[in-house]
Amino acid sequence: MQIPVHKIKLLASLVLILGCTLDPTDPFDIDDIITPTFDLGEVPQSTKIVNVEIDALTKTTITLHMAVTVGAMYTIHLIHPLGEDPLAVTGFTATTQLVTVELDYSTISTGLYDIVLIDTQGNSTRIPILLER
Amino acid sequence: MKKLFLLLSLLLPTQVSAQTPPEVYLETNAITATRGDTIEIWANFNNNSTQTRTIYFDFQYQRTAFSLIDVSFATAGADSSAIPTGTTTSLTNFNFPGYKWVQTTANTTTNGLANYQNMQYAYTSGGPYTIRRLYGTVAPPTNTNLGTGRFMKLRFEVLNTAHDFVYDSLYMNFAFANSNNAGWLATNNAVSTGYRSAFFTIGGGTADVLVYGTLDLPTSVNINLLQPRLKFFEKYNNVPDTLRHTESIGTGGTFSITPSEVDTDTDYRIYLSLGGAGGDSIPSILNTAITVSDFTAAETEFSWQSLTTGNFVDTMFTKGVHYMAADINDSRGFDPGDTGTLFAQIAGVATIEMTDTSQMLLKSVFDTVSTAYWRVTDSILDTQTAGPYGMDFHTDTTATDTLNLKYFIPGDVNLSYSSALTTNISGPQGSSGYYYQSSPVLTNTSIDVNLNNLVVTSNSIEIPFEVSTGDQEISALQFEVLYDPSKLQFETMDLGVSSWIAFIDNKLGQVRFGAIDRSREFALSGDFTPFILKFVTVNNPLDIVTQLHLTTNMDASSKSGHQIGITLNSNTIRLIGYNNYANSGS
Repeated sequence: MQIPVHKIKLLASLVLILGCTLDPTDPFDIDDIITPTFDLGEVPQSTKIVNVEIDALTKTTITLHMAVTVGAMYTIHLIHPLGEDPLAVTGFTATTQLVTVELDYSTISTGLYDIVLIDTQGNSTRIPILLER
Repeated sequence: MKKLFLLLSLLLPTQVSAQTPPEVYLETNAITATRGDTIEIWANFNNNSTQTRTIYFDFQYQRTAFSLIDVSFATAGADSSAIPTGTTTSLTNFNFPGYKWVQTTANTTTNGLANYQNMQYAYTSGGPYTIRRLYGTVAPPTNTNLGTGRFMKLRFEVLNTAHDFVYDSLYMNFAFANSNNAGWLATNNAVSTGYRSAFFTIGGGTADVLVYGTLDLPTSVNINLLQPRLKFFEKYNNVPDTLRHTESIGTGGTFSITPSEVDTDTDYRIYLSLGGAGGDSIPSILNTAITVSDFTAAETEFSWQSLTTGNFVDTMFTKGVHYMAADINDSRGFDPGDTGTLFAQIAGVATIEMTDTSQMLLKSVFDTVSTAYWRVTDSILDTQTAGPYGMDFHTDTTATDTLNLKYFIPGDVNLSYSSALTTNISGPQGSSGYYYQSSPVLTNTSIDVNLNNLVVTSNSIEIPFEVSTGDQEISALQFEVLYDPSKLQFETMDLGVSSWIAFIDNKLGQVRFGAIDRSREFALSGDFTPFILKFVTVNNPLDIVTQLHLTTNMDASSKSGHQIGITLNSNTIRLIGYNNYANSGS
């Protein structure tokens, strides 16, 4: 069986095109996929909640004052008193030793909760907080 | 003159008055009541010159025995009250049924704030305990603070429980104060006065008792797992025939049978049933009771037997009950089939056959049967009619009989989840007397295991178990980890002790694993990492927030085959995805 000339030309063109576009040593650019790196910041030396203030007017805005380590990363979780899964999460990298973070818990229903400050070593400290409307 | 004053001021000692923490305490630790009564428990407060405005409490009690009717503050301005006249109060009350406080060294201190920071709970669906969180706030008049005295009253109704109900105390797990000017305070819990728990003595509703007794339970018992029940069968022509009464036994191990439950002057055969009505929890009982050191102890004893006589040397097994527990195949001998089955049970490749009728013995037999006579059935029958699996018992006409019982689980050769062995041995400083003894156990010897929290940055998570044994050579280790299968999937375990034989028993949300140096030639000491658990995340790893929990089902064995203790730096491994630390907003 003879192959028509136009089909031979088409196949030859495809081979040429692929030959020009694919690198035979890395045909799918695997080397270009960069594994992301995650900077965990400084090693935390201090993970303390100094004070908490509840906005008297809204009662949903919480101001948290913390004594932390400059350059270290932290996460603040709002959880049920005996719970583990957070209802709200706020992360930050400390730029000063005394950090103030404003937390908007307006979507959280009235109740008793724990605010937990956790560092990258897994050290944590918690305080109870009563959210009222 | 000025220089003289300066010199004097430098020479005089500087008096620094450290602030005494406020104190919370229960007024009494002993409450006597009758079923149906209402009882009151006062939580009192000593302000110690603070500006306390809130006290946060965590109480635990048996919700199956007590119903909280109400919580109220002490009358403001009353003589006995810590609350001054003109104070307004408010209370937030949360109930967590099924939860129970898990005691650790870190959360049983006299500092309520520290206990709160280190709280741990166990949850049992429908469990008999409850946690009650009370958040009491006061607003005293200007320039007025709380004083010393009564603060809050809890009023309970004593429920109508069964006559043999085993009561537990009410516990104040923590209480700590919030000050107007200093935030949450380290707060003494019953340091200078008062109590942190209250014990109940409940009477009433108790019928005459015909049989009273105890089943000796280990201190670590999980009663919801063990579910011990005594079954009283009436005998017909000296054969057990009809089940007359089933007596459930609580955490305390005591039981009492009334004339309405069994008849007077009648022959019964009594069996001990474990693991629930259908024996559903028997596999879990076996997994908890039988761990690596049971195998190493049994294999060591077996391997040391005399090559000429075949007699055992009784080094690991010093009492007959050790051999009885090791006789897994019930051949009335300790043979290679027993050690093989024991290893298969630990490795999770086979399960020891255990019916819901368990090996119960009279206490006097359990503690005294010797290594020479344990296999001679008649020697046991002399003192316990009907053999070790049941006992014949004749009820008296009127007087109360006492029945003290012990039990063992087949394969639990170190009796870690069986009754403790009491034996007459030399005690401290050479004194003699009765002491608890568990022979294949090295007391006061333990190894350290370090577990670290992780910030998760990829979907592949590795959890190393770092072991530090010091000079102690060990030959076996095992652990059990619980995880949330909706967030994590267990992949595999890397073994850092290549010459040991590893085992993994993975169920959804629970992985039991370990390794044994069967040849006892590659025992290890010092610092090493025997296991690395590998998980993958189910969803985006950068967003994950979850925890792994180590259960108490862990064990280690010395090179000699004895069980040794494990000290964990934490029983929780926290895994938090990187995005939770990034500036993600709430």
